[in-house]
Amino acid sequence: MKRLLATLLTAGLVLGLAACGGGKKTEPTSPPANDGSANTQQPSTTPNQADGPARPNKLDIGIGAMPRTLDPFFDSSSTANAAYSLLFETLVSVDEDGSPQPMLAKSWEVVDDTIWEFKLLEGVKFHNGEPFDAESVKFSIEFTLNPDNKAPWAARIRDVQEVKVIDPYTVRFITAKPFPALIKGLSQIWMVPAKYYQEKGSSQAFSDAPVGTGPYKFVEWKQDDHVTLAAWDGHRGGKPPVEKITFHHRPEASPRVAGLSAGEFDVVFDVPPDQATHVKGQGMQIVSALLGQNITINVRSFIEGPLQDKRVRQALNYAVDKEAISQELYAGFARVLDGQIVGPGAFGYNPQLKPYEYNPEKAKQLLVEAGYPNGFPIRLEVTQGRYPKDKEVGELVQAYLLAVGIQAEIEVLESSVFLQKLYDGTLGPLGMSGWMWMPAMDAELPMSYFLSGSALTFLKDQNYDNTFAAATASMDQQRREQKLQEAAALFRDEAPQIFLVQLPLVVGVQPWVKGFEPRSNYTFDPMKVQVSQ
Amino acid sequence: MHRLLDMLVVLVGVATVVFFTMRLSGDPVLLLVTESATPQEIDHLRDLLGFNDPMWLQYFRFLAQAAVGNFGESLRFQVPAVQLVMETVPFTALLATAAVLFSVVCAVPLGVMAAVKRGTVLDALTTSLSLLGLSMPVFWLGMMLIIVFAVQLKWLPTSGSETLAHLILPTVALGAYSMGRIARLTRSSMLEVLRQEYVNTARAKGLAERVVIFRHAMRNAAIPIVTIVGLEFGTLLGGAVVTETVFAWPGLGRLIVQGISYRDYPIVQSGVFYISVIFVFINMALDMLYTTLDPRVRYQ
Repeated sequence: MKRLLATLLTAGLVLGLAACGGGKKTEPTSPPANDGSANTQQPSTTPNQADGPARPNKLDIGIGAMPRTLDPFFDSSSTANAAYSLLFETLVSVDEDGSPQPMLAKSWEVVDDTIWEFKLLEGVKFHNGEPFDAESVKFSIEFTLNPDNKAPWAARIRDVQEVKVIDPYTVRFITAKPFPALIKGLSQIWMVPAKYYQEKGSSQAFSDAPVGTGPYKFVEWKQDDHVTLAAWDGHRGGKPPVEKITFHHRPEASPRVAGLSAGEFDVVFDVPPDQATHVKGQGMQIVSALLGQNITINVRSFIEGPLQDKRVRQALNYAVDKEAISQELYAGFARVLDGQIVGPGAFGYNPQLKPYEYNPEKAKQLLVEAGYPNGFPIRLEVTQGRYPKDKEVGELVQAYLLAVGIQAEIEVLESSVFLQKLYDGTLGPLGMSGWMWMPAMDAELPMSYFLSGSALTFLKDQNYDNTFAAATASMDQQRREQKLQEAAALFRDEAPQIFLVQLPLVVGVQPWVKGFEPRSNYTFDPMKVQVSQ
Repeated sequence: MHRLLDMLVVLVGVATVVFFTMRLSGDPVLLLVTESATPQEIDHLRDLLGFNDPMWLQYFRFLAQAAVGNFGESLRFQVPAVQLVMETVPFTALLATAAVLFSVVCAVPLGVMAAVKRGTVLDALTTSLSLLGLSMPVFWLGMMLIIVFAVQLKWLPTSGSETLAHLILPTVALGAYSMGRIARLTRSSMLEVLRQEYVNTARAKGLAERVVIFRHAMRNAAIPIVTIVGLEFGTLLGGAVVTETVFAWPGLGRLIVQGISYRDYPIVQSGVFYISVIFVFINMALDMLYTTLDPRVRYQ
């Protein structure tokens, strides 16, 4: 009797709790079941406001990762950009189309094959009053290039040999060989004050009290917890509208989104796409950008077996419905890849190329032509938790391949094993990975990974190698672009990947925040953001 | 003392296991460089961090440094690993203490009452509550608490560690399991004790029921309970990884797990080492406590 009673009570409690918490597995369309408490969905009645005192002019941002240091030389992760772009500025910026725009440099010209000359903005100061001039540029660039410093961004300006100060507002870059990618490389190198940095003596000391030319100055930071910045009235573009911005570290997605729902955060980066509809239903704005990151299945095209045949590789692409993957797993926010690693905005992107359409019949036909009417078994290595929905993508791909007769067997790799195999060149024969690039990049760098000599390559094609070499050899931007686009077309045709999707950055914004437009690199224009009262 | 030697052996053993298992699982340098690093750069970094030295040399260097509390610098943050670990200690200690207190304060009275009022609704309620506490996954419970109390009712903050109010939800999420365990154990321990002859004797002597229960029965029931509480506390001090991640609580568990993902050896080594030290001390303290609780127990 007592046992029965206990069982019933337990069951009752469990069901009760499950009902009132329904939202945990994130049903995108239905709000959490009402457990009897009065206020569930409140689209416009949001916390700490309504008709009381004016809303504080600050922004609390929930983000999944913090920079590991506020010394901008040493963290190249994209999430770090969010804070860095408020504190610091670069010589040039790159807009979402991929065109370089003046920032701290007002103009530039290529003097000859190996010399670039930049004219700097005059009258710009750092937060501590130190003037920004050619010395700041020289210091920042040389620091980055110095191999002893092991600065991650050195690779982007590797070919710079010397930085010459011509006058306080004119700088020349001498490169070891023609270096057309310099201009975009410079968009990653944040300018720091030479004197102040050297006075501080160490990266840690600078990080504890960072100084830049950006619209926000440093207030405080607690490592891995939060960073607080305050609007600076000395900024060359004027004081930004929002007084204070704090980034809060919330590595786990659900509590981060919960913080938005509860009104604790004004903005949340990286809302899982399948929670976007639910969040929107609560009255939030959903804004998205495309990340410079793809998820693909690499196909090792040069080993013995069916994958050596181009028709088979193309068949793999026809077999998979990428639109469906984008809809199913990324709520439609992802972009289907069109056979290139880079997307619109990167220099060298070929706008003529289209994605492989979903056509299982054609896939089967190609397989028959290639001599595999009954398909074949193959191993598909996927990651788990490394990229958003990676394992689920793998499972969907497996299902699509099975439908055309290819029996793919999934093997889940742990992160470090995956990395080892990727660098060793043993990932595969079908191996999932993400590829990173940015509009600030040329297609050159990611495309170079697929040259025959690269350790990371899945393709060994002479044509591709030659076309690519022709691109890198010339300083003529037009010819470079043309050659890169040609190489991209070859790449698509050779299909050393099952091209899947470009991943989205989904951001949730409270209804009272106006003008928040995130870019692919986690930055936003603070001059446009306002907290409405 | 003999015990100190035992302790030392345990600590060295733990250190050794940690050292070798971390190195079995993958190249840390690959995780530290960007995709565009050249093989020379990778090798240079490997040299700099001493990973190119023979294993035995790395091991003895590690032991020697550990002996003076030097676990090296965190590979990710370039700050002494021990410092980072120490920074998390107050947070983990706070959460662990709160969780244990919460679970004991809830569980012990429940368990005692369930035993005393055996067979009643109260007993059934206690059993089912304990079962719930034991079976709910912490991750799920944490999220439920956030959704109900922070998002819907807005009584408490969702996550973070700024104020004392931030402590409440993680404490409940973390303490639920311990509560379940302790309640059940208290109940069965009390039942066992209440059956004993001396309890009847005490009653026969005419003592008030309350005195019988609290002064006599509980004292004896306490031994296994104290053991479990001590062990639970030790476990929680090791960092409640899931709770800390869900609630963005800057504790040791989260630090160590992040260290594992990034192959940040110094962090993992110093963190795990620190946990073992704590555990060993707690065990020692528990042993001492027994002599007070149970005069029959003596140590040489």
